[in-house]
Amino acid sequence: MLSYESPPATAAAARTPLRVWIGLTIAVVLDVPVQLIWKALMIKYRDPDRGPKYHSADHSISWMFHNHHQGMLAWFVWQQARWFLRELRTWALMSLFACQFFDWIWVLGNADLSFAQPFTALSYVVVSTCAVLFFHEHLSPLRMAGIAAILFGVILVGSSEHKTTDIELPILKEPT
Amino acid sequence: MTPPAHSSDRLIGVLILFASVISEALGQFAFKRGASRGPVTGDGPSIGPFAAIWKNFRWILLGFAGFIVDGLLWSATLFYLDITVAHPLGSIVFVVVALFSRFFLREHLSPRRWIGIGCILIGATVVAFN
Repeated sequence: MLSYESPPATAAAARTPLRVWIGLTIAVVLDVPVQLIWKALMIKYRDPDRGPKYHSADHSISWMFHNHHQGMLAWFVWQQARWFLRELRTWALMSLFACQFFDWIWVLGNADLSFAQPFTALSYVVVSTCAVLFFHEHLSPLRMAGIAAILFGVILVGSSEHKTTDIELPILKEPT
Repeated sequence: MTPPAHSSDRLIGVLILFASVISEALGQFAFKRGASRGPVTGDGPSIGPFAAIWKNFRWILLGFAGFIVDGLLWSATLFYLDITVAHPLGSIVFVVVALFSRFFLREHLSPRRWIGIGCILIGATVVAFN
């Protein structure tokens, strides 16, 4: 019989270990090149001169689908995929995704999901800061207030206990 | 390609957005389960992160599936809704992930953490609206 009793929710450690902070910092920092390269890739894809020769702006995918040109549709999708596969930016993006994945698994292995996930909101703050610093965008007072609220919320979450216990979930429990 | 302009499209867009948020929360939940390295069988020693990925690869695959579906549904959302509407609504993912953590992962969410998540929700909405 599987037992469905969960252990009492007690605070395991008061201090958040350094490895969790390092992992969260890497997660937030990696998000910036991901966003920038993704955006640059999509800009190049949409550009008639630099994008694929047969483009979805000129050839309607839904038209091919509804007129039963399935072969043409498959060929067309393959043309798009081939363009992406030949782009260095795609591979840079994939490498960054892999780094993000391993870093995130590392963080989740050491902290609660409800502790770690709110930190991803910091990418709003980092992107806004980059936009002001590098693209000289204007920062409105309301936007500044929003960033302050995010920072305050992240500080509150960060100062809560990082891990409930070594949670033993019912499905993983050994039969007794 | 211009977005369709029917009044029901906003409702469809919001429904797809909620589905996208749920699948993202599911992906996060599955990754958390995949990352579990505690003594999952009795009092055995804790294993490393790579061993955890190997051991829990079904959860990891479910996590990838969740994020891929999330990406597709988010693209569909942006087709039906303006980004000025979609982005603030999308920040409810912080609350949904907190609820998943509370009820499916049995994590202990202190009042301080709930207030922090509330502040982030408000802040993300304000930033996205501008």
